[in-house]
Amino acid sequence: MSGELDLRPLVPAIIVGVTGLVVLLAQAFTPKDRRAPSAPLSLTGLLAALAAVWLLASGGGRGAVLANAVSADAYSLFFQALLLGIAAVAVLLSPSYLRANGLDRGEYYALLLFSVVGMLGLVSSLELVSMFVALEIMSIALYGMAGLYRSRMESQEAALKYFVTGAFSSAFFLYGVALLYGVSGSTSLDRLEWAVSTLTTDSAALALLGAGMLLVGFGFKIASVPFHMWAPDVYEGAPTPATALMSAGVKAAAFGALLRVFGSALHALAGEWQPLVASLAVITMVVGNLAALAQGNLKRMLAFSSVAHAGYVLTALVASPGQAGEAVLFYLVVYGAVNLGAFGTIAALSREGREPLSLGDVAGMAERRPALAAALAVFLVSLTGIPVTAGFVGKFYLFNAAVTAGWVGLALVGVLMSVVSAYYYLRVVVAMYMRDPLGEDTWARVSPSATVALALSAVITLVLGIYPAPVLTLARIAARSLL
Amino acid sequence: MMIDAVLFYVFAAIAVASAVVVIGQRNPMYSAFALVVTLCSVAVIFGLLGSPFIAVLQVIVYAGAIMVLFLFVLMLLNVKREKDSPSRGQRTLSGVALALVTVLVLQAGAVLLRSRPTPAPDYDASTFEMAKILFSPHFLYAFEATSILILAALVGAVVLAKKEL
Repeated sequence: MSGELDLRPLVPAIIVGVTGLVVLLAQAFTPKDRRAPSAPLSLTGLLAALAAVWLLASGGGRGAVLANAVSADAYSLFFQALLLGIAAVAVLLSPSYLRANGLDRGEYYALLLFSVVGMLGLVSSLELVSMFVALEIMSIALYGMAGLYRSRMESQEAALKYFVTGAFSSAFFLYGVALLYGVSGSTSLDRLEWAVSTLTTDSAALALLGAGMLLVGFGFKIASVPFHMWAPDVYEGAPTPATALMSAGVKAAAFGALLRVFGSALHALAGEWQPLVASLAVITMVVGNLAALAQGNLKRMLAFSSVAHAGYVLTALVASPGQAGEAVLFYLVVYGAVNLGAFGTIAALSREGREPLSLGDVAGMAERRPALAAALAVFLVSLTGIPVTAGFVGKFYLFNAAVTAGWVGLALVGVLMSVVSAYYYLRVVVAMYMRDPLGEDTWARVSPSATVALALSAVITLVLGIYPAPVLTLARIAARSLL
Repeated sequence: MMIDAVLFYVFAAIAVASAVVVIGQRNPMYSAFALVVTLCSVAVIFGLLGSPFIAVLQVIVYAGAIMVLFLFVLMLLNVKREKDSPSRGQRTLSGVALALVTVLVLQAGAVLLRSRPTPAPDYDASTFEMAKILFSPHFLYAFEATSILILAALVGAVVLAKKEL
């Protein structure tokens, strides 16, 4: 038993967790007639954690510590920086939305920070029990956030649906962990890697069954078909900044853990799970995109689009190990920025409990709010994957990884489905630019903090589309540390 | 050995029978008490398997704490006897059928996987050994992170349940 107790890799998560406690206490000690400074406190905590990640990275990163339970390798530092950035943008989007909807409570920020603690743990765990606990922290905090809007039926429905399906998927995950423990006699990933590379025929079936169960558990979290049924209702019912965090952050964290488990620990079984993941990718892309076509509600449309994008990422996962790692990592950065922007635009316009959800609501937006319409257009064009935006570069690397690994058909389905997706994304852009506005502009003025968040997302989307090299290099370094 | 086998079959039978009572009862209170019996019988089976620690946990946590919570909720909400509904018999039948199918599938799986149940190697499942593993650096992160998990659950429950904050 190693006696090394190096807590440095946990410093970012500890900072975020302590900030959550401070936010709760600040709320308790603020007089009733005043507003607790929850958002500035949360933002400070997240930026401090980001600085801690930077310090860890400049110290060269660290391998596994805490008896191989947690690591601060380049891979987890990359994801931690991404997740903290996503959370910071979500915090920037929150105050104006919460105020406009009468939800301004410190608990929202505390839950947000706790869910970030879970995400950070998920991407840095090298051990399945730690991974499970982190997954649960993330999920449980998000159940609370989904149901925050208690006066709305949809929000209550979202919380309950998310909770029940989430608990169901956790059971699958845990069963998978138990079976893999049965195979390797340990819950740590390096022992698992060793065990599956020396499998006897007897335990091979057990290992496959365990891997399958884990895949189902992760499938729920990344909302891949057929485990996506909760996504549209939850994304629609949850407060919109929370939806932005779910679609960008949860997906990144879950893919981070998924890639670590399947791309690294279970790669000896790749021949068996690759066809499975490939078929998941195909049905996820097809069902997600076709269902998104039929949506009139913008939040639901974006929810199905996020299902479809899980499918695009899965196509590259099939190619792992290899080039897949960097493609997936880069795409998650792109996808995070774009989705924060798209959901953020909806959230920023929210006023008195209403938000622009139909095509009629955004019609003629370009005339009234040229900057905002341009930003939303950039995000939607990027989601489609049209050149000069980050979405194109991201998809290019994803499909390239699949083709290089010999999965040409898979990449073909992805490209075809991207063409289909152009219809429902560009429909919104057309409504904004070509149609006349309906009625008066009753939407909110965009608050300064939301402006910063949207501008940041838009700039990242454009810069990564034109000059992706620095982030790609980082993604490559991070993905290498996995092998 | 012989006495172990007898005890196993007796308590396994009790566990299954009371589990049937849990779903067969119309009064939710009786169901809850039947569940206590099931959980305690399973605890005895854990004891027979040489895991006294798990057996005690099963009684304290499940049969104790969680069941008390169930009973509190039942009493607070004043849940009434379930009303007669025409599909009741049908539901019981489909439940039994589902249970049988599950057992068959698991058996078939075991046969197909050619897994021969081997007795677990001699291991020390005492509380001391459990604690040594549980509090080792290997599980330190999971152990500490659980406190955040519980706190998040608590905050979430308050947010969802409290009328005015």
